[in-house]
Amino acid sequence: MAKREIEEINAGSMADIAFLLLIFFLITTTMNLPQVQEERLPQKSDAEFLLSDRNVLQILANSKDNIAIEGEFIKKINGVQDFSIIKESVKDFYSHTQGAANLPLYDTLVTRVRCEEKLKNLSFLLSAYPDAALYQIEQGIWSRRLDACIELEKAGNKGEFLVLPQNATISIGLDNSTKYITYMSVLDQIMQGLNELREEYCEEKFKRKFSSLNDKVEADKKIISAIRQVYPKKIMKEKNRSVQ
Amino acid sequence: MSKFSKGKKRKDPAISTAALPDIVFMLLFFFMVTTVFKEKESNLLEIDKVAIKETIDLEKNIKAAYFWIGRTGELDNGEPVYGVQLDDYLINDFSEIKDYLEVLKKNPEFSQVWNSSFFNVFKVDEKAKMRTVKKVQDELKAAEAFKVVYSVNKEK
Repeated sequence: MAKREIEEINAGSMADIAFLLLIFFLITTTMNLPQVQEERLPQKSDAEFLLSDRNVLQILANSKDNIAIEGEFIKKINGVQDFSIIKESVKDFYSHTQGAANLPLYDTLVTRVRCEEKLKNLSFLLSAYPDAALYQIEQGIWSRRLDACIELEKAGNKGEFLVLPQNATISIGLDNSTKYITYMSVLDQIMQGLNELREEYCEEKFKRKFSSLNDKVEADKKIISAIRQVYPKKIMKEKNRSVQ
Repeated sequence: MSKFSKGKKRKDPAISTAALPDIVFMLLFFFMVTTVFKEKESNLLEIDKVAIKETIDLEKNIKAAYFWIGRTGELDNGEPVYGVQLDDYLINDFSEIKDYLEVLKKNPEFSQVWNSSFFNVFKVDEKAKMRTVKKVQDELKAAEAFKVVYSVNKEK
């Protein structure tokens, strides 16, 4: 009986397999993107806005990092300020309750018909005054609102929503000696409140989670911008000044 | 013929090294998976970043200017001194920021995206005073760079 020599295993394809794995991991690996909080600085302007008191949610922070909402210091629990009150105030401010004291009045119901009418008027005005910046801004606002209405209708809802008056805003006033962390915490609470409202609204109208929407996908992007029309981020920073 | 031959000794087969690349690749994978790319950090200032809950991802491939505000390590009456770092140097005067941005703006790479995707990235120590931040931002306004993002850590 002839003995068979043990053959060497052919290792030529090993490298191929390894490369296949390498490429798989290369593609599926995601890196953590840097996390940020956004803000847009106001354009330099000397224009003073006359804002009605009830249309402004005023948040002030003094040099000792004490925070006051609408002139009242927020309560401390065990010596630590309870920031979550800011979130609740923001939610109250944006919630569409008609006629509550010291909250904005909602006189604007945005409907598709109204958007179309407005846009027709504006395009007429713009043809007469093509350089009027104010009309251009208005046109932008109403066309985005029209998109939002269409998006709502697409999802099987009524194409209408209530919006804050145009001059309603959250105003943040900071002392020069306020710590940066205080400012960030306030911004964080505001965005938390706003995103909770957006989350609820998205769940109700689109049966989707707002946080799961991906702005890289065209259809999701439209929903995101529609919801941003309903609950816009409106934050104004007051000019440098000392807060007592 | 006997069953157990004693005369001829069989040669041992050579140890196969075919598995070597696998081991090397395994190591490569391990390091690939565990590596976290470090963000651009300040080399002159000490900064404790703020951690907040509500954050957004910074877009990839953006054009940006980086501003660091942190402790220089010096003390003034027991209070730490804060400095502003721009690029790789500490500024002495806030007006340098505007000059720096004006130079950037002349670069066509930046001027094209100045109003759309040019970001001013702030990395600020949590105990820094808003005075410094405001002063830097006043310079940004003067240079018409309005988009600001604050780099933060995500609170779990």
